[in-house]
Amino acid sequence: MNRNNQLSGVAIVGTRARGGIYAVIENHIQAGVYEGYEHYFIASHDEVGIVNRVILALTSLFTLISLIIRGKISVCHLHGSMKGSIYRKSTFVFVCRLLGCKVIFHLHGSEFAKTYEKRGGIYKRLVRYVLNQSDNVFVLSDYWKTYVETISVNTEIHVINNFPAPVYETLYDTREYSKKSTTELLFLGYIGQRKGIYDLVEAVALLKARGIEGFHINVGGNGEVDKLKALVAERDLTQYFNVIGWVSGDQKHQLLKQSDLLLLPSHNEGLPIAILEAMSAGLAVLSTRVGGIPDAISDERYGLLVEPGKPEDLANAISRYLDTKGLIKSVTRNARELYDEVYSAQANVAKIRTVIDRLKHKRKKKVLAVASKGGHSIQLMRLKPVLDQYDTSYVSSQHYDGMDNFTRVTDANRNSKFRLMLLFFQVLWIVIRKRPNIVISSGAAPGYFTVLCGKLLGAKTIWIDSIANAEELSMSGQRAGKFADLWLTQWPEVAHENGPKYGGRVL
Amino acid sequence: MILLTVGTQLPFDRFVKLVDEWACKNPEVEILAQIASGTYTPKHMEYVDYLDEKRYAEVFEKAEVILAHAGMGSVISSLIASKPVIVYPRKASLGEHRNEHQLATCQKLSYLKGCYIAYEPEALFTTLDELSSLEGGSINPYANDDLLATIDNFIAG
Repeated sequence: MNRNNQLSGVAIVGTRARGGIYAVIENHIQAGVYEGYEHYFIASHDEVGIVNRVILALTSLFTLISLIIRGKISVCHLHGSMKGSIYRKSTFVFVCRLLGCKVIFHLHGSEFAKTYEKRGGIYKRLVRYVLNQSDNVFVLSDYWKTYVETISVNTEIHVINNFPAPVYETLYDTREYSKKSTTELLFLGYIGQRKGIYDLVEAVALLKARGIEGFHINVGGNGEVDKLKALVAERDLTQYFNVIGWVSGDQKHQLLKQSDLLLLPSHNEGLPIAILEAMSAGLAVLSTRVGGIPDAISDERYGLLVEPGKPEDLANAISRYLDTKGLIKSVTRNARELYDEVYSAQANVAKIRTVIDRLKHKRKKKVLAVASKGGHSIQLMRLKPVLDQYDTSYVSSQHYDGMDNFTRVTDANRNSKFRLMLLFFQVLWIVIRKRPNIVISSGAAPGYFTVLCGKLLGAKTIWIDSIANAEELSMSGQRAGKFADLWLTQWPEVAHENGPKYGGRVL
Repeated sequence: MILLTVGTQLPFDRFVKLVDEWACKNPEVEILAQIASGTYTPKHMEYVDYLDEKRYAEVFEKAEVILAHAGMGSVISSLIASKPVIVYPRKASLGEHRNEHQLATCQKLSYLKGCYIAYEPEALFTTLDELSSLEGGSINPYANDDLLATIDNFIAG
């Protein structure tokens, strides 16, 4: 088996609580973002009690460390909204940096800017740490990109749109707008003031007062369902509203199919998936100028936007859709084109994969070259032209010319058990710290330990027995053979089947 | 000057003593011996238990000829620096090393230019007597292409 493929795995870290972020993660996996890479989802958060949250956070951290140390992953796709999760996320970023794993920080959450402005210095510093130390930052829109650029020096900030599952795309071709007498409007999202549902009630009351008819609104979502129902009844608007509650699956599919217009008068947003689903399915959008929404609906060709919290503007926009012949049809056509180009799964999967591929490609293989001082080190340095092509660190009990990225270890041989033990732990720590892809040694105790530790932690290992051993392998060479993926002697006479091979010599 | 080194792992008194005998008869030749805490104390040449890295590099640079046990570090360094190296192997039979690999190494090294192997005291003295006629070798600073290719192919995998 080729261990390189294992090394190219990706860890996905984020919440498993039902809702936006987890949906995005599931969607990424299903849409094939990680296809061809081993991928591991690590839940770092859930909507459970505080004790279980802490346990989950710690478990996820150890899982991540274990995956990195065992060489299963080289990239971590870390999802966060930067609210309570900042402490978890900074720890994950810290661990990845320490162990040499690349990090993509994927910033979600509509409240991010508000929270950042409000919070104190430590919180701000942690946020900047996460943003600056991640190799790449993914944000949900141009708006967030601009914002993040004001607080972070990271130059690798990419807009990755949350894309909807492509399941509604086929609905676009089933539209027959002109044949309907009633225009079907759809509200899909959390039922509460945050998503502007009460503005919508006010707006409909205004429309009713103006005597405008010929429309009907289905409301799907969780939240203040009963409160909304009561309000609709109180304002005598039941002929306009059908409050359904939480919808999913077939019911949601049916609603998207039968509706002409999506209403989302939010007060605060990233870029809601519901809007993108509407664009894919052929519903015209009526929403607000908040968060990432104006980036998607950049002008009236793609939909109508109003200021949040202004029921009258909302009412006017609804009546514009109802009154202007062909408006819904042209808006949906333009929006669908934009969707295909920018917001579809196809477009965004390609973008994410490019970043992941590049992070992996940029990663030169890490080589740990190890020898004891004297002849072993001098033989090792004769491989320098090859070692220089990689990201090589040297370990020896003495420094020699050309040993860049050098770590000194204690000088030990079999005559001193205590020193050998010390050396073993030094070497183990170096291997854990450096996470080499390749361990290469020309001999003796430090080399033997490194090949052993490297092998256990998933590195490919090379043992080159010293040229001094022309008739039989050295003792360390015999022992290291068990852990060496490439086991070499410098003398053809010493090579044999099931033993070391001859592959050239240092002279 | 001449640098005598027995490496840093084990003393090699027999060798040091022989060279010291020769030094007695050739007082005009300046010799510095690194004797790795040997029990024999040279009387006719300068000596030190260990040279630190920096000092060793200086002395090595200055030396015209290297006298060494058959340790690959000393031998390869001498060849790279084009300094003649006189090699006197340790014998495990005399308790000077763990096994007889130095003898085996010497047989393999004998074909290398610049490498003068002495198995017995007489040969060592003869070679030392011809000190001024010894020539340094010249080897590539790096391993042979076969080994570099073997390693590179494996790492690139």
